[in-house]
Amino acid sequence: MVTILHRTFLLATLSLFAAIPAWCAPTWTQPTPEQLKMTSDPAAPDAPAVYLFHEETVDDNVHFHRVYAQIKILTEKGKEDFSDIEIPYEGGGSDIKAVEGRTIHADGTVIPFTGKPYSKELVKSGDVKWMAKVFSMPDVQVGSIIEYRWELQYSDDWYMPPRFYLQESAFTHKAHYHFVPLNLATTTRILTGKDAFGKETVANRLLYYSNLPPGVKVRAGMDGYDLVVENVPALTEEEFSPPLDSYAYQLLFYYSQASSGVDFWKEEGKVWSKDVDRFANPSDKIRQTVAGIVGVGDSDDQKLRKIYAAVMTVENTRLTRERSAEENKAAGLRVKTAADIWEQKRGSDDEITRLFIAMARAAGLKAWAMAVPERNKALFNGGWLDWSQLEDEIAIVNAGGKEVFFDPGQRYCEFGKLHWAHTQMLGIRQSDSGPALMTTPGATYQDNQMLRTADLTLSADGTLKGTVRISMGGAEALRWRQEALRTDEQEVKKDFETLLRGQVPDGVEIKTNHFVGLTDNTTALLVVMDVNGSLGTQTGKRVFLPSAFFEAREKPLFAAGKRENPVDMHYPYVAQDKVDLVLAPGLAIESLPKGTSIPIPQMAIYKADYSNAGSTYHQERVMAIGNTLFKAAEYPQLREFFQKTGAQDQEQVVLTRSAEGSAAGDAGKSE
Amino acid sequence: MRDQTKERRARTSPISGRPSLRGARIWTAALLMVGCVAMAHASKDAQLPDWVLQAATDAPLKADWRDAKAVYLLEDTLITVQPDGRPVERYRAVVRILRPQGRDEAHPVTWFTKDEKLESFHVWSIGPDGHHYAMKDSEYIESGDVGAGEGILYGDIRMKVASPPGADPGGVVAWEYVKQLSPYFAEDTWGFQNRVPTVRSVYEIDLPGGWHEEAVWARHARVETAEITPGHFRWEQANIDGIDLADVPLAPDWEALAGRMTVHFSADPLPEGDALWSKIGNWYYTLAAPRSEGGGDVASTARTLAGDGDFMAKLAKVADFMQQQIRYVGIEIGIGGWQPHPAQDIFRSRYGDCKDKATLTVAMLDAVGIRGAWVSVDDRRGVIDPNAPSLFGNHMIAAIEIPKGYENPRLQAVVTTKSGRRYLIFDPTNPYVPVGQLPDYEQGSYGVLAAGDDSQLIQLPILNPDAESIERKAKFELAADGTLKGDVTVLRYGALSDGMRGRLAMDSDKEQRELVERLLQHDFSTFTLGDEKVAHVRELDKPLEMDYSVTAPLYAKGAGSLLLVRPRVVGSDAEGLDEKPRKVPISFTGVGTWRDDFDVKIPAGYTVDDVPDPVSMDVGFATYHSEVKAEGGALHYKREYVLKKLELEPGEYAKLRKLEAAITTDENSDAVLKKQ
Repeated sequence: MVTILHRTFLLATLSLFAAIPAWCAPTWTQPTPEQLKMTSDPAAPDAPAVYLFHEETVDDNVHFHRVYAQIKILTEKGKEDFSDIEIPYEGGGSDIKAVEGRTIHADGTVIPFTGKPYSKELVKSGDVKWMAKVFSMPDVQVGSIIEYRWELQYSDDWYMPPRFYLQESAFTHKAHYHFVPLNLATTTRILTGKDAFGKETVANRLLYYSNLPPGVKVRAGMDGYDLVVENVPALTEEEFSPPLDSYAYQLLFYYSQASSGVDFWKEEGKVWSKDVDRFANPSDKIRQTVAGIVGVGDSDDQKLRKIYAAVMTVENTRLTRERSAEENKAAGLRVKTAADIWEQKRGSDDEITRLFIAMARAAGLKAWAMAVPERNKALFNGGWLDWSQLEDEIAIVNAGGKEVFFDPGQRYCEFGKLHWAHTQMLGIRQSDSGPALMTTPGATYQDNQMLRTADLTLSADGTLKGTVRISMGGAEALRWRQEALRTDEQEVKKDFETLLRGQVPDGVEIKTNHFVGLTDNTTALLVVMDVNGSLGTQTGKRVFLPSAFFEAREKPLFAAGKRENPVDMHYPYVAQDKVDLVLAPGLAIESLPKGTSIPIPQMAIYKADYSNAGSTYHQERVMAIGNTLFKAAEYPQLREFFQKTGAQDQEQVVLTRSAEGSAAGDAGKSE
Repeated sequence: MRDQTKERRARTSPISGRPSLRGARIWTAALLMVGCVAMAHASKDAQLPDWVLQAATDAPLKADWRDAKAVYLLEDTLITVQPDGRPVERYRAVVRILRPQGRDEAHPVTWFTKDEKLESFHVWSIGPDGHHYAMKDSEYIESGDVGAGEGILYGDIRMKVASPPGADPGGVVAWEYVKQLSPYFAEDTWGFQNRVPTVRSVYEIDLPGGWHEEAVWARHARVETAEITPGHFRWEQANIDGIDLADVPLAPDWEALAGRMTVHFSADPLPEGDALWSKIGNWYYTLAAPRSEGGGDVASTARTLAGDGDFMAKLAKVADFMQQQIRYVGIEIGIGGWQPHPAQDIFRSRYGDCKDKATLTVAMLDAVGIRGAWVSVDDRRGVIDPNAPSLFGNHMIAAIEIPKGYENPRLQAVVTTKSGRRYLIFDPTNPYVPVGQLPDYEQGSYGVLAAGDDSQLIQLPILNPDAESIERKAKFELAADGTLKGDVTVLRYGALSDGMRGRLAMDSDKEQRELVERLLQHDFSTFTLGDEKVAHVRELDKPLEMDYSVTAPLYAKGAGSLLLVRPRVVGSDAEGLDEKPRKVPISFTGVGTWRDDFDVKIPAGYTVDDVPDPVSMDVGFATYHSEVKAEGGALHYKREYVLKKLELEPGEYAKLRKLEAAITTDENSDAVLKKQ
């Protein structure tokens, strides 16, 4: 009997690799005359290349994974992207063998691959070595068909159920996937692996998760599992897309001890929950600490605020530098429980979350952990029985009979709020009745507010002076506060200046004077900036000023006219601007833009108002985005909204100059 | 690669040569890999070498280094040249982290290859709390994935990196390695200046008895050589400022500013100056020339391609084949980092790296009676210093000898050597700059011509600004509601079309359209792109042409009875500069001429009430003329910007700022239309 490890990393890498291929018959596939002549593909009009055929065959009894690919090169980009093949594998127990290939030109000329595949060491750390076999196809031209195959042979001690990711970086006309699993009924071997918490598990059945194109089914037979798909679209990358890999077509096999998904999540959830409870045990030390933090008569809310504030003082090593267990040991530290985290005043994001839970429990409150993915990376897939997709932990506390969500693992996240990547996420939580599925709450635009004010004075020669104050809460404040943890205040000042310089009008110089609340998440973050430089352009008679000081150089979001994917704006927000500009004697307002309101009902609103009181120009602007996720069908409306608001922000204020103003203005002209 | 780390900069690296940000990516990947695994082991009360403890306890830092992210307390290099000429390097570094970002400077790393054996690598650190740590061999990460993603399919360069404990502000990280250096090169470089300040830097070389050394200095005054014992030479510098170019607009490459010393060593007396450059060129010629002896296929294909035309016609055909048919793929093992593959192999597989492409170019031209040679260059202008002969460089291109008396207006990138021979400089790796011209990033640089007895240092030409131009022409019609509608043509000539041709060549029709939309996003808040067409992307003898129609609602802004219109409708030539005192030279991407010619027909019922003042500036290194005229019911906007120099001294920054302010103002100025 042999202990078997599941080579998870390798399979993920294999299947994600761009130039992935599949096995084939011993002879090459003769392309059709149509395929040879093809210069573009109506099925994928913009494709740089298309897979004509792609096949993968895996047999876990004889330990091989064969790959074959037949790819039509349609453009220079296709030539660049698909001619070099790199096949990653784990060294020491597997190798890539039987590499063969050929290039067929559009006229049918065949150039066999006679080169040498090279073995490249990608990374070596301790006993683990990740390798890649690399080779380049010969004489690839636009119009060529390249064809290659290879075989991953792995040790008799390894079993590697495949993960077939059906969507590639190119359109696939036809693909065939076949898997012969280990015969679990007859094998004398015991398959063991470790779960996400290091606990050894024994696998006794084969499971698979599939997300397949409509009408396509996996055929299970005596010969194994078989899948044929046709006309599979490529994955398209677009800005502000949700994590597309989570939606992609895929077929994932794995050996498991779970009899069903429900059982798996229940059992794994119990293991995780036990681990949380062990770590977040409200030990005597924790109770003592909490007793020193909260008052006897404090309400639940008051207790939580005090505990949260205390937890926020703990160094979050995810934002600074992670220390190894050995490093902690050398410093006389250990990390076994929440009490250790409190004592050493530093911990990872999840450890700090668990510390918060422990302290809340010690204060007599009901507190639970919840495991969630990060929305900027992946969505939770309950059909794929793998705990590791739940990357982060947040906390839920019953305060005054109401469950409140906290994100103490995100240092400086506001009390009772979540980092945007943890909002609206399906995950698994602890509860009185055991682990359960739950979706985290979303944010509202009030959670993410920004107020920008500018008090400015414009001289007759165009010189500008003044002060800008930017006050923010929610996601933006968290972003800057965490940047200050990763770097330092000096760097954040510089980055803030760089950001603002890209927004305010040309000629305006802006310098960060100071921050208020950079390390205090209980107040709004205030940035005070000094303004200098020049403002406006002039003709013989007039001076023109940008009407929207803070948006003068901003470009509207979404240039592309068409869109395929939904839009994820990350979080809702409201941004308000108030600008006062005192004009020099000799300058008078001839014309102001008309105020306007641009709405997308139930989703967004924009308002702009312009006025003057004597020689002071006053502008107010509000932009509120109420939704986070927009369907692809809503894209035209969203794009139009940003274009219209962008156009409004480009309106000009027209000033006229008296003789006095003209003389001063001329003095400032370039040669 | 070399511009990312001190250690790498000081070594001679392979010529793989496709201009890129390759180094940045490699370094980032290495750091990511370090982050992927368990962090370093620490042993309490580890014994640290005296040189580490000594450096860590040295005197306080200079006051004007207070903003530094980190500081090298010590760099100490000892090169021991063995009797067989093979050098062995012992390198030591001690870095103190001053700010969180300073951790990036404290990642011990070393590179090695199959011919540069790493004999030892040790890392120590002192935490801010005073703890001493010594890392174990098993805690280091090795990677051979160097150059991946930048066309290097396989190379034998590997690196060893470490992420030491205690690497926090206030902490100290130290490392030492010993490795055999490449047996091919009889030189070594001491890069004593870093991005962060250096308190003390020491370099020593120990030569076998009777051997000779010659030290040359780049961007630094010569420091006297101290011969400690016979054949053992030493140089030392203290309190060297760092060069931080982050956020510096129009900055030269860091490597073009940092001081370095290259020491040559030999059993025979060493030549100096030009003769040393010539020796270096000859060394490469000896290495590469045998590889250019193409077989029958190479020669017959070259003859078929070239036909019976004159020099330029033949050259153009071969150049086109090299640029369009030979894919960039780098395979570099051992001396293969410098020596090209045989021309026959490159021809058969239709791929190769820069030196392979230069070699096949030489071979094919030779078959049609044209003599070619190699030029070792660096795509970072200014890195090769004429005062410091060395193998420094990261790219290989070709020099093609022009027959005596032959003239052709297409031959612009021409160099005349000391022997009086004329060479056309050609980069076959760049598929988008036509033969006869030269990519911007190579113009004005120095290179080593490897051409047998004509081997020497040459300066690559700076082309006439007229040869590189962008012309934007457009006719628009403005409606009374502010909607602007019209057709635009943009023509890009010469090397200025390089980048855009490269983008468009790789883009699908959809992506090309999206690219135009992104460009228009800079000029219009709201717009709809109509028909769009791109022509001559790969026809290098024709200008790259981009035609499109655009409709921009709300383009003109209403202001009472006025309509405000920006006559400079599309395209921007302005550079973003800062107000900080300029300390480093100003480096432009390339010289060139930019011309705009736009007509905007004004809506019926409106007259032109006011137009921006004309601008006319001549600042010596550039001229700018712009004018808006109102004629025939239309606004006519014309401008021309000519940039004549590639580099300016820091003292000219104020003049440049004034010019850029005028351009920016001109670009943003409005004309005023008034309702009649």
